[in-house]
Amino acid sequence: MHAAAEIAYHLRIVQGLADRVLDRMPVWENTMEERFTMLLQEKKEAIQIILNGLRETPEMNDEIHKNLHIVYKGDKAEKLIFEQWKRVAEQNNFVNSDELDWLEENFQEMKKELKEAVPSIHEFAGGWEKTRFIVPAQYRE
Amino acid sequence: MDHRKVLHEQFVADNETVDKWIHSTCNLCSVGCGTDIAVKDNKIIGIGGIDEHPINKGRLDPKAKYQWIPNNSKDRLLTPMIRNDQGDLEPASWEEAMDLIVRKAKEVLKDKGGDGVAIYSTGQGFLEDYYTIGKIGRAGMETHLLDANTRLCTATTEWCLIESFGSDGVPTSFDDVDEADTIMLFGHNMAETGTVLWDRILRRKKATGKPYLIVVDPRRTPTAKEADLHLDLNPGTNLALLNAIQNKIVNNEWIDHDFINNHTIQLDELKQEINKWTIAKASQITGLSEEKITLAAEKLGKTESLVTTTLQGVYQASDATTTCLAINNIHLMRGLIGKPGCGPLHMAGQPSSSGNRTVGGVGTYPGNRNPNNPKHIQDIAALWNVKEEDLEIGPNKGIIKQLELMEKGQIQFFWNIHTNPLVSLPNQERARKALEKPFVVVQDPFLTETTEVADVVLPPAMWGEKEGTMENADRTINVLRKAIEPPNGVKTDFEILVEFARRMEFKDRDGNPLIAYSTPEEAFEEWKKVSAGRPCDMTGMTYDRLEKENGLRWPCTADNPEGKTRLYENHFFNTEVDYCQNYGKDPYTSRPLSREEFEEMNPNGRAVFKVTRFGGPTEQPRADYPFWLNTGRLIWHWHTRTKTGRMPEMEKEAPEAFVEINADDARNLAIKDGEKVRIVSPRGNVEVPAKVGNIMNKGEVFVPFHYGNFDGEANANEMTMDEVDPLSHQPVLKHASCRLEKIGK
Repeated sequence: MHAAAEIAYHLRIVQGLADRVLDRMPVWENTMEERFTMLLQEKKEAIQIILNGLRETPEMNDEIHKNLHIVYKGDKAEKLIFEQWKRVAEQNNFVNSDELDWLEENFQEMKKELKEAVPSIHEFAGGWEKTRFIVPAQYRE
Repeated sequence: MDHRKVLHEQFVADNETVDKWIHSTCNLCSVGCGTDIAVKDNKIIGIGGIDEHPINKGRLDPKAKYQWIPNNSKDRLLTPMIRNDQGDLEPASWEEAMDLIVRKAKEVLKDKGGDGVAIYSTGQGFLEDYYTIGKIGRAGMETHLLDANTRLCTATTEWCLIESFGSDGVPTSFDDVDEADTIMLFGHNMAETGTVLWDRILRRKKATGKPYLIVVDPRRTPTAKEADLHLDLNPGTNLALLNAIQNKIVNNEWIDHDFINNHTIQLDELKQEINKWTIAKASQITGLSEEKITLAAEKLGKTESLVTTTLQGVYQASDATTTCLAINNIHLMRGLIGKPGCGPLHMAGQPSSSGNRTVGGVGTYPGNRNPNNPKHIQDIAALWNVKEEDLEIGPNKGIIKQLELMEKGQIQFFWNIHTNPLVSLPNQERARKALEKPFVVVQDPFLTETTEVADVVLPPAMWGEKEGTMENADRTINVLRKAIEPPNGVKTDFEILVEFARRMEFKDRDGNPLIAYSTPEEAFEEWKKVSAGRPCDMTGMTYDRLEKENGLRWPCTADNPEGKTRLYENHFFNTEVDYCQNYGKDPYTSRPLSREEFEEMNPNGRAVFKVTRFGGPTEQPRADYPFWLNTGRLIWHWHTRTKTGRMPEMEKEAPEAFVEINADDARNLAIKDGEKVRIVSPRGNVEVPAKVGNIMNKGEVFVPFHYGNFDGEANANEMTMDEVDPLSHQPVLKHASCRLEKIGK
């Protein structure tokens, strides 16, 4: 598959997963939930801009670069907040474990898709040196 | 030779005569007092404060007076130890220990790459050690997993300074507390955590009536008792208070329009957020009267000069970084920065945690360099003569995230240097289980709670037995000379790190050793080159000058050899896109901003008003856990008592943990002073005696965090939360919910 198409394929899945999680909100309304919800929403919107961009000009430009940054850095920030939201929810028995497991699976799935998109992003961007400032270390291996 | 005639305070062992006094610096809190070490027959026998030292003028903290005692402790480790097949630590040679460490490090690097190895260091080491950790970690092991106990201490300082002003480095200095009309101590119990600086403020106040003191703290601490205005707000509401104060200052036009127009950006964005914050709303959330909040706003809005200090009451609370940003905002809207008696003085907790941040042993790249800026990575690659692509840019992971990576089996080699996480980390049960997973190296002069999970223990030299520099909380670099040789069998941290690099065969791109220096002074000289042209430029310093001048503040260059008392005197900030230390983060969601987004903001030398949206605590008191749990320090102890627990005078003052309870709460629960109480949080529980009184407000309790061991000593961190501030990743240790159960005598 062409690199741009491959990126679009993975990002569409991430967008769908983000939608599923957002549809489930609110679960346990508090500051942390509000934060990761905002990040999910922002990530979804950034993906849409990338998808539009890939359709119009299937090559790296400033807009796609900026929004890939938002997607990857947002995903990392969102994971940190979600994981601690989950810990506090578990410690306090505020959310049932099935719900927490379901959310965890969806967040991990998003990360997995983003990791799988990385080789195509390297190819699309024209090399490692252009993308390592977008893609955090733990999405690159 | 005794090179000083008068020492303000001397504490020397009974019946001893001093052979010589050696120049040093106190190794406890972040004030950085100049000290001389008393030596006789290659043994430390006492300490004295240096009268000429501008920081302390001869004075010493109570703990500092005895800090040489642990050096002579009989239970010091004098040989490495390796855990045997039976699970016991047994003595080993340095050869055996280093061989095992290097073998394990190589195995993990081969298997997992840089993502598998982590170094967790300290805020009590030397700049030269931190610089070496940064170089070995980044260019040798190619990891981004460098963190330190500074994460529990001053990570928030770094982030709030980067966000507002473009780089780390407190804008003000201790000299400014001598000139300020008003000082606000926000979440900062200086009377117990920075006694010498506190003494300096109180002496002036008693002599002149100045400064007007505002203290923000839920507890009636010794600091609060001296306040002109004490704001004993509800836990977790710091930012609610500051948002209302910012709003009041703006609405009343107590702002410096010229300064704002010429030297800042984004006030309009901030106004949209703080417009919602009336005094009445803040009063409802903080529990403070409207009169008190109004008075605070008036004082802060009208004072001619203002220094605001912060410490763990901010950094370890919810909205930590945004609270500090609100304080920076107040200084910016009033134009009270970069001039005498003015500026935020975000403190550090430990004696050299600032130094670790500055040289890149933790946090961003050395010399306030931006890991997201390819030009800065190229700079470092050239300075270290390594390939740019070998420098992992991360981002770095804080210790709480590192615990997750241990749980998942990702981190398999964990090197713990001069810190005791199995007392100091939150949610101890989780921390213990996580640390049992990787191969753990602990570098500590004593067996600690953390050595219980160590595979190898390395015994390092202590204060007075090694040479190097430290950076205190106001950018002063002090040199510490070696007073005596370390005991036989012990090596300095620096020697251990250099030896590790040699055995790992870390090379530069020409095949020469990556670590080419062999003494701390040579390391400092190399570091100076790395600092050149950066905010923390130290090219004008030498060890000899640092001793002769009793410390120098950075930046210190050939053009400015005396160093800078305060930053931003020309009101030009470090926010140029290719100079700044980071592009910053969204202050609410914490998502890192891209270069493009930073360029769109276009600060270009102007400071940034950051929007300070209130979040508040996640876990709050409720029916089954009706109290707020607060934790913190005592004047008598330092961190986990590895050193102060070996000072009989300090142990006598505070031998065990306790819980402070409000008298009304105690009466309702039929708890008498001294009776044993079980405190239960959603994570764990401890049993401690009660101290009943009026220090705490109703519904709040306080437990000191210094205590805890595997033999049942009560550890407050069994109960604390492993939640972190989203920007600085500093754990929220200051509030959790809990309940009290009376046990009785």
